[in-house]
Amino acid sequence: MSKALMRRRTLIKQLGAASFLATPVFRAALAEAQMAPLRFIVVTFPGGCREQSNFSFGRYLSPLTPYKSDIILFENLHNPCVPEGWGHGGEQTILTGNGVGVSEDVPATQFPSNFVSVDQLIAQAIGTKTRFGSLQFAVQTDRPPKGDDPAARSRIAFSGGVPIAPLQDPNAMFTRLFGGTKPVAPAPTPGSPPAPVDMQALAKAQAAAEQRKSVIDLLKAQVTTIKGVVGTQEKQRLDEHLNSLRELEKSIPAIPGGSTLPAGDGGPAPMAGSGCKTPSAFDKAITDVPAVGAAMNELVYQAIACDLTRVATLQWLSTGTDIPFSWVGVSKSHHDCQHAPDANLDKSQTWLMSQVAALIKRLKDTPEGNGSMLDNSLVLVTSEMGDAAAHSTKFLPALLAGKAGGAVRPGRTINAANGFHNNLLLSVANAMGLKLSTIGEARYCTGAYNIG
Amino acid sequence: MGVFQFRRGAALSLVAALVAAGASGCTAKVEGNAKGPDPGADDDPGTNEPAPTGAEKIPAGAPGPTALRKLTNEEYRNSLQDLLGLPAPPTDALQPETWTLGYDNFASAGTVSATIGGQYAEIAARLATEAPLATLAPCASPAKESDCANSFITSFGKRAHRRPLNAEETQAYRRIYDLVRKTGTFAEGIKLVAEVMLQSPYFLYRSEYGTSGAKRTLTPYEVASELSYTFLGTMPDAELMAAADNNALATPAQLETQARRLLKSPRARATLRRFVNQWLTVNSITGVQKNLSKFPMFDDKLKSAMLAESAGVVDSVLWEQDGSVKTLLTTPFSFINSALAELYGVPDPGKGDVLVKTTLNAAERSGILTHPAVLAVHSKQDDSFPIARGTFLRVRMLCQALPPPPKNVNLSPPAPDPNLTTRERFARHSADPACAGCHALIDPVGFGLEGYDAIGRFRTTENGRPIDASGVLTDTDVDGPYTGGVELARKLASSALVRQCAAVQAARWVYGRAEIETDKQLAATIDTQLGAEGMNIREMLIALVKSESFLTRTFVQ
Repeated sequence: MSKALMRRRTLIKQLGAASFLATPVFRAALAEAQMAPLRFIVVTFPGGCREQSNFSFGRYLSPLTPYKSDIILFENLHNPCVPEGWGHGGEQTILTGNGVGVSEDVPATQFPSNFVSVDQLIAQAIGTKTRFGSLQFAVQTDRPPKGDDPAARSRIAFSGGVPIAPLQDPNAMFTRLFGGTKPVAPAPTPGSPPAPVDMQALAKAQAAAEQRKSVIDLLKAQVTTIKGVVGTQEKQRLDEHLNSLRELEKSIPAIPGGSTLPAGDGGPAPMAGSGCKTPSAFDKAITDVPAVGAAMNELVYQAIACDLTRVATLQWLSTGTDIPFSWVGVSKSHHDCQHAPDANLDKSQTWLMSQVAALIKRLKDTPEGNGSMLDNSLVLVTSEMGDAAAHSTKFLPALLAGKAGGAVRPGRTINAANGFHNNLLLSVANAMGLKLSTIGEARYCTGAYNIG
Repeated sequence: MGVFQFRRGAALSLVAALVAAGASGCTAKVEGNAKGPDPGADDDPGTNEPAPTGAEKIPAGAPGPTALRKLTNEEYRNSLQDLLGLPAPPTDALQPETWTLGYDNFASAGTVSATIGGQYAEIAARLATEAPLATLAPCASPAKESDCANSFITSFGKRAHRRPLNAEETQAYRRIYDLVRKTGTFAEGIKLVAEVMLQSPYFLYRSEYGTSGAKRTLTPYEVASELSYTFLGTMPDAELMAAADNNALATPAQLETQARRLLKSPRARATLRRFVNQWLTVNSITGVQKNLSKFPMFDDKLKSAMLAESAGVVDSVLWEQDGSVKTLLTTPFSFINSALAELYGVPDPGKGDVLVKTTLNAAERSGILTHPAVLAVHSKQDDSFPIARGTFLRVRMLCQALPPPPKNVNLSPPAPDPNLTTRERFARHSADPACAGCHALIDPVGFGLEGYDAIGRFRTTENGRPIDASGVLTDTDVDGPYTGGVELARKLASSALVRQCAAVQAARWVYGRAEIETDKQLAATIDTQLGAEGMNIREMLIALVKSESFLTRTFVQ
C-alpha cells in the first residue's frame, strides 16, 4: 500500500466514518425516503459503437439482458451539437446538449451561463434535500495531456457555464461521502433506551454549530464581496464557489434549542432494506481500472442508498483514452480499437456494459416500497460518439434504465429515426419532474420522446 | 488563430509559408476561424514588420484580461506549507485541475466547486487543529489574549491573504474569535480564525484585478504574488511582502531585481521544471501504457527513470548549462541508470537505480525531443506514431494549431503489418487527397523520428526492413529536408519560430491564459533581444515579467 494511501486511510479513521449521517438534512431525507425519492444517475462511456446494431441486447448489451424489461433502448439517435468529425469534443455536449466551442482551435474552458448539464438542472430541483446536491464520480478520466488538449472537453457536468471536475480517486470520494465532517457520537443501537442527555455536551454542540455557521457566513460574504468587483466570467465561477459553500452549510448539525434531544437523535434511523452501509476503503492502485470502477460503482450505490445524494454522474474513462482493456485480453489501446473496430472493441465495450449491469443489479436488488430502488431511479447510459472510427455522433448509443417512480415505462425500444439527442435529454428532465419545453441548443431540441 | 499562429510580427518568410499553405488543403480553419486576426491582415505588408530591435516594452496593444486565479493543487500545497510551517498535506486526493492547453494553471479553469470546496474545508479544519498554537499566535500572558488575537489576525491574515487586511476584514475575523471565546478558549478562537483564513477566497485565489479603470495596474501585493507563484510556486516571502509594502514592485527594474533574486532560490528549479515539463508533456510519461508482451521492460520503474532523466536534463540545461531553448534541444548530456542504459544500449553506469550524468551517442540523440519520455508519450502501445509526434512538434514546438481530420474520411490507423515499417503503413496519408493537405504538415515532421520505437529506443530497422527517417520541414523558417531526430532537433534549435513559440508557451504558463495577439508580438520582441543566444529560458521569463503584460490588465466586464 502506498504511503499516500495509508495516510488517507488513517485520515478516514480519524475523521470518523459516516459521522455526518447524523445531520438533520440527512434525517429529513431519510424520512422522506420512506416515500421513495427519485434519483437520477448518468453513466457515460467512451468510444460509442462499432456499428449501430452492436449496441443491442444480443451484443454489447448482453450483460444487461437480464434487465431488458427495465430498459428503454434508443436506436438511431443523433447528437448534432457535435459537428461531424469533431467527436472527441463531444463529452461537453453529452448532458448539456450544447456544442458551443466544440470546433474551436482553443476550445473554451468556460461557457455561457446557460451552459448547464441536465444532471445539474435535475439537482437544482431534487438535490436540495440531501447532503450533496449532486456527485461526480469518474474512472481514469483525467490523464496527463499530450499537447493542447483541454480537459474541459472531457467534462460532462456543467453548472452555470462552469465545468465540474469529477473525483477519480475512490478514497477521495470515500472521504467526501463518509468522512467529511467532524466526528459525532455513535448512533444508538436500535431498540436500546436513549442515552441520558448530557447538557454540557448539548451546549457545546450548539456552540459548535453556531460557530460553523458563522464561518460559512463569513466565507460567503468574502466571495460575494469579490463577486462585486470582477467580470462576468469570474462571477460565474464565484457563483459555483457560493454553491459549494451552501453545500458545506448543509453539513452543519442543527442542534435543537430546547433542553432535550428528540428520541433517536444522534444517528440515522435505519432504513429498512436500504443497503446503506459504509463501504471499505480502497486499497488498489488508482490506475487499476476494474478495481477503481468497482469501487466507484459501489460508492455511487452507497451514496444513493444512504440518501447522501439523488443525482450522480459516473464517467468511465475519457474520449480517445489510450488505456488498453488488458483485463479482458485486449492489448491495443482503446482509442486504436475505436479506429480499427474489431473483436477487441466488442470485448472492451461489452465489458463496460457489464459494469453498468453491475450497478443496475445493485439498484434492482434493493427493495423499496412495492418495488426496487431501480424503479424509483432513472439511469441514463450514453457515450460521446456513435461510430467513433469516423468521429461521428450519429447512431449514438443510449439507453434508460428504471422507471423514475412510474414516469417511465421501460421494456421497449424507441427508434429515434435520426432524431436529436437533446430530445432525449428533455425526455429525461421531464421524467424527473422538470417542466421544460427545451434543453440545450433549442435548434436541436424538437420535442421529448414518449418514454412514459 | 488557425494553422499558423505567427502571422503578425514574425519573420517575413512565414508569410510565404502561409500562402503556400493556402494551396495545401489544410486551409479550412485558417479561413473559417472567427478567432483569427482581422481578415486581410495577412496581406498587409505593414503588419509583418519585425518588432523594433531592443524595444524594452511590448508594442502598443491591450494587455491581458483581469483574472482571478485559483491556486493549482501544487501551489495550494506549497502555500499551506509555507504559511503554517507544517509538512505539506498530500494533494493527490484533491479534485484534479482542469488542464487547459497542456497547463494546470489557467485562470479560466480554476473553480471552487462543491467537491474541492469540501476538501479545502476539511483540510483547513485539520491543519488549523494540528498547527501549534505557539507558531500561530504566541501570547506571553493570558491577560494579553485579546491583543494577541488582534495581532494574530493582522499578521497571519496578511500572510494568508497575501496583502494587509482592511478594517472591515479584521473586524469580521475578530467577530469569529469573539464568538468562540464566549464559550471556548483563546486557542480555540485562534484556530477557528485560522480555519476560515485557510479556506478564504483571498487565500484560494490570486487576484489580478488592480483597483479601478478599464486599463489597470496591478497592486503591489498582486504583483508580489504573481512574481512568487511564477518563480517559486508559492506565497510571497517576507522580502517580497516588504517590497510590496514599500511600493517597490512597480518598475521593470524592480521586477527584474526581484525575479533574479527568486531565481536563486532552490525552489525556482522545481517551478521552472514544472513549466518545461508541462510545455513538452514530459510528465505525461507517468500515465503512458505500452503493450507489455512487446515491451516487458516498460514498467513503473522505467517510467520513473524516464521522467527523472528528462527532469535532470531540464535542470542541467537551465542551471548548469547556458539555459537556452537551443541547448535544451541539442545537449548531448543526459542522466541514465541501469534500466535506461539498457534502453539506450550503452554500458550500465553501475549505480543501480541512481541516475548518472552521461554523454549520449551524438549520432542518435540530441536534447530533450529525442528523450525516451517524450518519444514514448507520443507513440502507440505497440509502435511509434509519426502522426502524434508530428502533431506534437507542430503544436508544442512551433505553436501551429492543427484542425481535426475532415469529416467522412476513414480514420482507422493502418493495420499492423509484420512485413512493413510503420512509415510504409502510414504512407497512405500522402496518397489520399482528403488527408494529404494537413498530413503534408504533420507526417514529414513525425517521420523524422522513425528512428525511435514506441518506448524511445533507437532503431535502424523495423520488421526486418530499413528505417527511413528522412523528412522535410515546411511552413517554418528552417524549411528543408533532413534525416533523423538529431538533424530535426538541430534544425528546430536554430528556428526563430521555435524560440518564439517557447516564449508564447511561457506566456501561457506565466499569465495563465491562452495567448493573445500582444503575447505573440512580445514573443517576437523577446526573440529579437535574446534570440542570438538561443533564447535563455530564465531570461525569457524575466522578459515576460518586465513586460506590460505582467503589470497591467484590461478589465473585462
